[in-house]
Amino acid sequence: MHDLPAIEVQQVAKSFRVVHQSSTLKRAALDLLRNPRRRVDRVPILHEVSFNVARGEAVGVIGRNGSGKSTILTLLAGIYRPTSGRIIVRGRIGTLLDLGAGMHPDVTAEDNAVVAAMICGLSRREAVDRLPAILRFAGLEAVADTQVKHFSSGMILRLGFSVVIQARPDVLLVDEVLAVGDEGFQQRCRASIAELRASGSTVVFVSHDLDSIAEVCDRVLWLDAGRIRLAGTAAQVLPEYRVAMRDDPVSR
Amino acid sequence: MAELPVMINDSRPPGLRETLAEIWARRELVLQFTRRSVQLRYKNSLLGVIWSLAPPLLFIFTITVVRKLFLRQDVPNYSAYLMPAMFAWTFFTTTITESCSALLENAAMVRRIYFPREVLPLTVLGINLVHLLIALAISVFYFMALRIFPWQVDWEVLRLLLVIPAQCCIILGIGLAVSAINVLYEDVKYLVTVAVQLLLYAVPLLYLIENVASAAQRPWGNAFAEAWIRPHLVELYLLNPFCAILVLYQKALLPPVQGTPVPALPWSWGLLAQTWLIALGILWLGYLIFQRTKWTVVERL
Repeated sequence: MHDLPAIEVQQVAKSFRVVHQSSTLKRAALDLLRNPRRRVDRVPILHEVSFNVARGEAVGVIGRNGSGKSTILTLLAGIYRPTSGRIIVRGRIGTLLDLGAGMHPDVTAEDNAVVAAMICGLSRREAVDRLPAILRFAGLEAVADTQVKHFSSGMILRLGFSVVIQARPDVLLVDEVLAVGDEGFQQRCRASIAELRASGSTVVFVSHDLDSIAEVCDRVLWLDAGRIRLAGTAAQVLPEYRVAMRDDPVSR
Repeated sequence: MAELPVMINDSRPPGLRETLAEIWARRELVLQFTRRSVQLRYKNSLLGVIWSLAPPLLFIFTITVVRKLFLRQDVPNYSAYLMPAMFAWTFFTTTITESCSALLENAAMVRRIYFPREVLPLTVLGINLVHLLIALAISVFYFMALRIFPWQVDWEVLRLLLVIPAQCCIILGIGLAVSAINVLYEDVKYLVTVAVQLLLYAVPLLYLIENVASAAQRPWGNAFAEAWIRPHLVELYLLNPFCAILVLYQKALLPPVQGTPVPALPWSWGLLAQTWLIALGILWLGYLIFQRTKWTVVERL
């Protein structure tokens, strides 16, 4: 089992239905009367993407906005089903896709942390046991019983990150969010991701911050319009990506 | 090294057995969510849980007064018979209405974290089940105050434990369906609200099942109704699972009513079995709808 890759992505394609307007039953009924054989528009976001991630490896995903980076993470997290193809993830998954996702603003930091840790797959017991460590790592012991709505975005990020790190997932999926933290916290994040990896966890990291990618990741996937344009070590991919972005008419 | 969980994500969604196993594995999360919504709902309100009881209690009071004023000879202790039925009815209506927004309200979380989506409608069921149990405890005190409880065979009350789970199945089936459909079509919530209001007249709250039985004894005039509906009126009426559940509550908890135009109908195991069948059918249908739409729904949130 340990020789198998932690993540296998086999020819995964994903397209989304286009929703033109918020729909109601009334609208649906009218549409059915007017045009019963209406075709549903679908926008392809990923085209048959394949890659593997070995256990303990850290892979960075880069690409322009709309290239499908976040969609890949969402698929890896099991939130969306692919339109075709197959994804296999071996191990407990921890996700950090959004700032304070799953946290309720009217609930205290402690209670939010327990729920978030349980969503990461811990039992209630384990979650409560790790609560002190979570709060210590986030530096929020003093405000443990404060409602999260009074927190700054940096504090929410610290809490969310701390929960995921202390939950010790086998596979950690991180989107962009870390950019909200200050330099000191970002360093600690990178350190704890490195530590998590040392204990055998696998990391997939989406970011526009190429320096963090270079520091954290062994391997980089460059997504372009839903296809892998280039995959390789950070040293191979990042310079090419920088050149392409500089010459890109859209981003200029 | 413990065996790692393996997630396979492909275009074919997991079936019933996998889904159930997943929900069972996450049962602690359901409890935790429920606990959280109970706390959230009552944290800033002085009277806490009382607020969930106030509307049905006012309703009971009003119906009782109206019947006292306008019916010359009313059933003794009508309010006692009304009370459990009204609480059961409130359990139906609030849970189903709240289920409509179960997914929409948690859109931010559903879009960013994976957990079995069924957890959310289950949580709505959980919190309202807590309200129901509190309300039933209050009913028992009320019965004792009226000296109609405990009556001769106390343990018969335990039959209620067979009724409540059937009711939960009905609610969960409908709740699963409306929570998903309401994301796809935003006006479903209003339709549900209207349906619930109309259904109020179809269930035995303003009247008793015995009144339905007595209506079946008078000639109706219409040939079709005479031939097909009148002979089976009570059976047809009780095919509506909402009605059956309310009647089962009354028959399980209280001694036979007096002063009705026809003798009180007894507790019926046949009705319980029939209602269970219908309840499981509704749950199955609701689950199918949820299962078929839940992945599309997540993308539309």
